[in-house]
Amino acid sequence: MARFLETRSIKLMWLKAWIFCAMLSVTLITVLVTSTSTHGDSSIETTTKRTNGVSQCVEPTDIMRRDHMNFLLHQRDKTVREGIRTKQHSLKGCVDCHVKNNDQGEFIPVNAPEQFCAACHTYTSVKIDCFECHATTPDVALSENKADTDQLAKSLSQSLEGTQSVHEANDQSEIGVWSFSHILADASSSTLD
Amino acid sequence: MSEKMPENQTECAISGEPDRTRRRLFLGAVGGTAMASLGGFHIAELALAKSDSEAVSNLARWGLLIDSAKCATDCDACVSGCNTEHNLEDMGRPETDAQWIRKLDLSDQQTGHVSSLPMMCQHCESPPCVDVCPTGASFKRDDGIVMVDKHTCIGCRYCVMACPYKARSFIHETLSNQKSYSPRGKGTVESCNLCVHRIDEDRQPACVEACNTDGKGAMIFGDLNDMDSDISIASSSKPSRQIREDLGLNTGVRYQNL
Amino acid sequence: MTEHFKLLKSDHPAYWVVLILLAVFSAVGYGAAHYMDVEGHWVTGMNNQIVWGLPHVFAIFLILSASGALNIASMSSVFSQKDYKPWARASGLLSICLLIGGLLILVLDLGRPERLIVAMTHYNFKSIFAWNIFLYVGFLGLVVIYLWSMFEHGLNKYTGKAGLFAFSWRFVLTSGTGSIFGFLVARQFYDSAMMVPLFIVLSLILGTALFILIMSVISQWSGVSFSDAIVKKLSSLLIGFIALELFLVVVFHLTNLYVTEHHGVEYFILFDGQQYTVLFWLGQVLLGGVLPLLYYFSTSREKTMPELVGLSLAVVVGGFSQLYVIIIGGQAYPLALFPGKTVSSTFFDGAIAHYVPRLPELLLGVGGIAISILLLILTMRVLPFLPDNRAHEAN
Repeated sequence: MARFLETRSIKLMWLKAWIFCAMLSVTLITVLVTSTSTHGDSSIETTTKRTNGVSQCVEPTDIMRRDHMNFLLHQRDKTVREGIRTKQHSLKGCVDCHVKNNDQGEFIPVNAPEQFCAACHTYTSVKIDCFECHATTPDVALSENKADTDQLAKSLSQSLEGTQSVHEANDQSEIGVWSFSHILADASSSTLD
Repeated sequence: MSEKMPENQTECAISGEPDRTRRRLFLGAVGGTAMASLGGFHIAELALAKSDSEAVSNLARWGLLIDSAKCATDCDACVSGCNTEHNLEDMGRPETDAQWIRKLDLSDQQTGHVSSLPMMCQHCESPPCVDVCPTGASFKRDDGIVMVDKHTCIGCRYCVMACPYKARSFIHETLSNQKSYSPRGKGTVESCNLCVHRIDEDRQPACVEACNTDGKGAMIFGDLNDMDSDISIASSSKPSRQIREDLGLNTGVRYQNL
Repeated sequence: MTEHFKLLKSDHPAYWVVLILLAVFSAVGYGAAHYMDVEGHWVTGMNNQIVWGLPHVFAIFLILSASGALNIASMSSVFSQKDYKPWARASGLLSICLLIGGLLILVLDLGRPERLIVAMTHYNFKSIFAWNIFLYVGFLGLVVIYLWSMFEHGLNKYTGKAGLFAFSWRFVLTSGTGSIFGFLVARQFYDSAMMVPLFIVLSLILGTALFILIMSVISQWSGVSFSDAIVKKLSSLLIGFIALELFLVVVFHLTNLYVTEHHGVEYFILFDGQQYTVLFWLGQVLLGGVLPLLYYFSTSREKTMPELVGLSLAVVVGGFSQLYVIIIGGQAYPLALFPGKTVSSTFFDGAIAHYVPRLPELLLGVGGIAISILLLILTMRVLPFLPDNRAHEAN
């Protein structure tokens, strides 16, 4: 009988122990996992008017809303580990395109309140740590590059002026960044006109 | 036609890398006359250049050759070049401030011979920092660049303990104003990555550029696997040494006249 | 012989005071870790020269103690020493609690503690840290199974096997901890396989001593006493470990001294290292080794419980000093990049590194110890880990 009572009390103790352990692990997990990740309502309307006049993103908007983090995650590993630096899904590309200027013409960080990244992420309360390391505005040098690129297109179209090799050029060039060929084509067609 | 521009054309004009675009245009289409206006590209480099979508390969192994005889004690052009490139700010706390490259002044205890050299990540073929990293965040790229994937770095600092060259720094505070090509942040470890963002667009590391323009031209950057590269030619003609050769790490950074 | 066990129930005023203090220190420790996380590590004394500081001394102290605290259970189930059996459960529990405390310190000191999940999902199997993650988690699991086999009457027959498995595992575990330093080729003071036995024996000392210290207090609260037999056995066990460790320390330094390239760092630690030299001679060697040995062998009579507690206290201080000297003193000596040359730079090359622990890291370390003991006491309240006095009366 005493043995039976002891077993019973031990069973009760085990129950108590399980409850205790469960409470303990919940506390530990709460303490350790400080960042919460929840899926909010994606119907939020964000202001996507961009400074550079581009009207469409690198993927359809609904896909971007749902999958942008996957694109970024995939791209990040490709870029860091393998040196693949395609622009389509790069975080830098997001920032370059979605950053806005203030009245003084300065860039406003994309993670500032109400700005492109922060607006949605605040609404859905999904914490991101991208911008603890990544730049939140384009580099100044980049806008110089832009001017540089524009200049390049112009000088190219001038150097090609009157030559017969325009279409040949388009055919032969294995232009990785394919849309640039269209700039050329545009530039050349306007000169040919 | 200009009305029907492809959707990401303008974006490309903005974020595309001008250098690469220029080169490919040149390669594919434009005649020699355009070359002058596009800036000096060597044919050899063009042949090696990879496209943005191509992964790096182990055909190249990037390295540095440093001529200590040319390196002056009072010159720190390479250090300033690096600090500016990666925005390594002086926080006023030298013990915790990050340094990717530093100048060492050496004096022989027996002979009194004085020399000077820059010290940074030696980009070992068998890096101890990569061995010890629990998450694999510290890794070696196929082209020999040893770097930290800050996305998976948990900040344990074991790599800092393991590096024989004291090349690594831990970020002790919240940072701001990072460069878009050089993400850096609190709680992770970092070190010289040979300016990987520059290498991927066929440019030289910032320290080498600074040493050539503002310094004494003591640093040569290049592909150790390419027998015709400047670095291979220079290192095959005169003896060079690795620091802590005894560890057998086969460093990518070599020193001459030490 | 059936052992009887009971819950920890105490009306001792100190019991509640200690319990509250432990909770407060645990909370303060977590607060300190949070502060370090938000501000960055510049608020601690750690820097790019001393990259592992006081938190790591505390963490490794607790992890080694965790492995060693299982000694008592191992003596009972692996070496069939019946006198230890009443304390086997408490020994297993203490082991788990100390390990959790040590790991919490390590995790909370990370630069990115919120990325613990990364450490659990990305593995580089060449890293000793990665091995250790498995060794620690595996150890926790094994000790839980071991304890289960002690609690469940039907499983008692497996206690011996579980104990043997846990016993072997903890040797691998402390080897893993020693290897963290032993395999560091870069640094003069580490890079020695001697680190493995040094850490194993240190774990045996610290674990046994902490068990004695903590259980002597708890036993007073709950009216349990250590039998004379176990006091006698624990004293001689502890002294054996101390003598062994002292021998290993001598061998370690002698081998270093024979190698010319290590003369610099040996001279630093043994003579010129200021606080490290003091801690080495007074803390590690004198308090943690020579004095306990002298005291033990000065009389041939059997030692009493207060004497055992005194011995334990001395070796805990000694062991802590030893870890401080190894972990921090070992980093303080500069890397030898250019033997035979004087080196200087803006990055403290060639200079003895400067380190003064600051409050946040001290609180984090103390918090880790506090939460270990708090866990122990709270668990003892809900499950019968303490020997019932009837067991002693039967003896």
